[in-house]
Amino acid sequence: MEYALLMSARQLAFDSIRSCTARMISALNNRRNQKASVYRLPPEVLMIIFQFTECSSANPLRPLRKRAPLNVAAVSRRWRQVVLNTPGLWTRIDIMMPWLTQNFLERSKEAPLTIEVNAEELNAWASSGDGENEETHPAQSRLSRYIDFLKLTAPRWISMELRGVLAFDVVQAFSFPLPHLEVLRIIKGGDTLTSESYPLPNALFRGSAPCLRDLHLNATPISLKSPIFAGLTSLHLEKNTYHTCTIGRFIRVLAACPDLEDLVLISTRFTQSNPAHSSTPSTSPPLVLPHLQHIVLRGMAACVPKSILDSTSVPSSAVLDIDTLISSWDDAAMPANLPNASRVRSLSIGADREIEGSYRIAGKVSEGSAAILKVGYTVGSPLFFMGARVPNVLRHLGRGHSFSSLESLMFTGLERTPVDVSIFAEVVGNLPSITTLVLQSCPSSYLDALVISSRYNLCPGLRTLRLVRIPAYDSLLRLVESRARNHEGDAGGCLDALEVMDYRRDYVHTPMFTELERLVALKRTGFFTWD
Amino acid sequence: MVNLVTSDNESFTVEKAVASRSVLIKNMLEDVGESDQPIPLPNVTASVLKKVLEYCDHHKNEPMPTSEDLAAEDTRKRTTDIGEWDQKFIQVDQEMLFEIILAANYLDIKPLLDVGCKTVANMIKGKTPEEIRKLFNIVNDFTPEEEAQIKKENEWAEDR
Repeated sequence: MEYALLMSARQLAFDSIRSCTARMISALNNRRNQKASVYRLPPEVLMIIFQFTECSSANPLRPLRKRAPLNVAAVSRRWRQVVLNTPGLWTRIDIMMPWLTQNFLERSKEAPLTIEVNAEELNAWASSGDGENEETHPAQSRLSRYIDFLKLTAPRWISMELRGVLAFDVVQAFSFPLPHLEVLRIIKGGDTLTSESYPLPNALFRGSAPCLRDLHLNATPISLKSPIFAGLTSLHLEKNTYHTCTIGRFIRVLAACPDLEDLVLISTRFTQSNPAHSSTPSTSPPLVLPHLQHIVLRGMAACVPKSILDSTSVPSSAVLDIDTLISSWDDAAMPANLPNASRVRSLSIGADREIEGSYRIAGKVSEGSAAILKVGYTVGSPLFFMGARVPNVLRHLGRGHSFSSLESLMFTGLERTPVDVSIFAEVVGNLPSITTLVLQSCPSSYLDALVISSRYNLCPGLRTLRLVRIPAYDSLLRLVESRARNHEGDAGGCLDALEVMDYRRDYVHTPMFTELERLVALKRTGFFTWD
Repeated sequence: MVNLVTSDNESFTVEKAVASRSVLIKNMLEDVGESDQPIPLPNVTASVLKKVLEYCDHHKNEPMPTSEDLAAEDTRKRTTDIGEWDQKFIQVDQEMLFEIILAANYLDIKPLLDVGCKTVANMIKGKTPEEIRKLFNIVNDFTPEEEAQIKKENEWAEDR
């Protein structure tokens, strides 16, 4: 007994000495650290540095980003103090061990939180020892249990990103209001379209997320009747199929978002999307969206972009990107309302080299700049289109569209397409303001259409003609003769310059080109040899 | 022109537009009005002020960040990208780097402070605590109890 007491006292003494020594060493090391030059930086500067270590742009690896506050908090006592007193460093809550998540939540104090959930990590969390036992909540999804764990902090959530989770689970898990949520991204992933399965409008967030501004739903078709579709500045819907919502309902969503700046709609289907049933009657005044600057409408039937553009009025400064999926040219339609057409100075019309039978139209403010207008038609089955009828939709380009600033028009890659000379002539005829015409890899018959006669003058403002890889012989000479400055009966459209590019050097020095040079300022560039 | 006097008693005469990149000096000039009196900078040495003025001169024609810009910066995700010229400018030894940061903080030159802080952050990123200590000549001064808590936190993170 006495021996045991003695041993216990000895152990106590050892522990006390060890603890005291450790504290002394710690204090000595702390004093030594005061001499380190980095210790001269005051806490407010260290806070700024640590906040930069938390951001991920130069460090996209999530694990490192996750570790950032933990890492710097493990360097020294002083740094740890600063890190623990910087709530902003602990605001990104993703799947971690529950006790560590709790640490993050406590250390973030009252700062707004960013919630990130990835389904794969959720599985690991659920199977971890600290996660709650699945058997005790058999009806609850893993997402629901994880969200329940965080729920008390919900008033602080300002941004939430959910990846790989099911719409069903999302609606089940988030049955409470999120009063300060500004950004919501739900990205299921995969290529399949997901059908609307939860039409209950008020199920998600109990219908209340009044601060929500940026909404991105991928394969998560939350009912468009939900009140979350209001007051948005950015809306991105992708791979959603709506069985109970029409395009008309979607237009009403837009009406509820008068400050919308970005609209992205990709591979999204609505019920009754036939224009006869769904488009807004032409007598209705268009919905004015004065802040809309970026519109992407891709992978949908032609009636969807047409309905949206015809029902809305957006600023001419908007950037428009439309790619319509068609199964027949009869389905194709050119939207009557291209709001930024008046800003386009350079327009190109071409076949898509990668998808046979597909066409792309791109409009730019200047030749070197990025396109502000993109209109594309992608065929569902290229084989079906072999030998297909002429794509009449191109004929409509320019009809009713105000391309009032258009100066340059380019046709490219149309030599093996059904875009024949009659369509070419109609399009050019619809766009009389052009002064520069570029023909690249197109049928030489287009040149015949440009020959001026006493009764016919297509393109009366033409000044510069640029030809790139076009087989041109007598037709080119006839064209230039008819448009030469000294030609009789000058009715406009006389050429100032002819540029020929990417031809064989010996070809552009044949006698015909000598004759052309006599008639017009000729520029030959970009030679190549076929041998 | 504005006359600035450093802690080691060296005098610098610079354009008002250059000196006014410092909010501290700008406010002083506004408070004092037109004056030939030199402005003392007791927390900045000549070698550091020379570097700071080089930065201010290069950026003198850029708009000053407004309070709205600064508020917006706090709420949006910060990036650690640094402009090309700034990157070259800040390629100095650690001692000078910290001196520039301290001077930028004292003189209230937010863009320069950010450049310095981003540079230190980029040095820290991706490094283990031990590597960070070695980089800045810091020694581990945690007590065993603190060490145990840190180990528990970081063991989890290292597995991810």
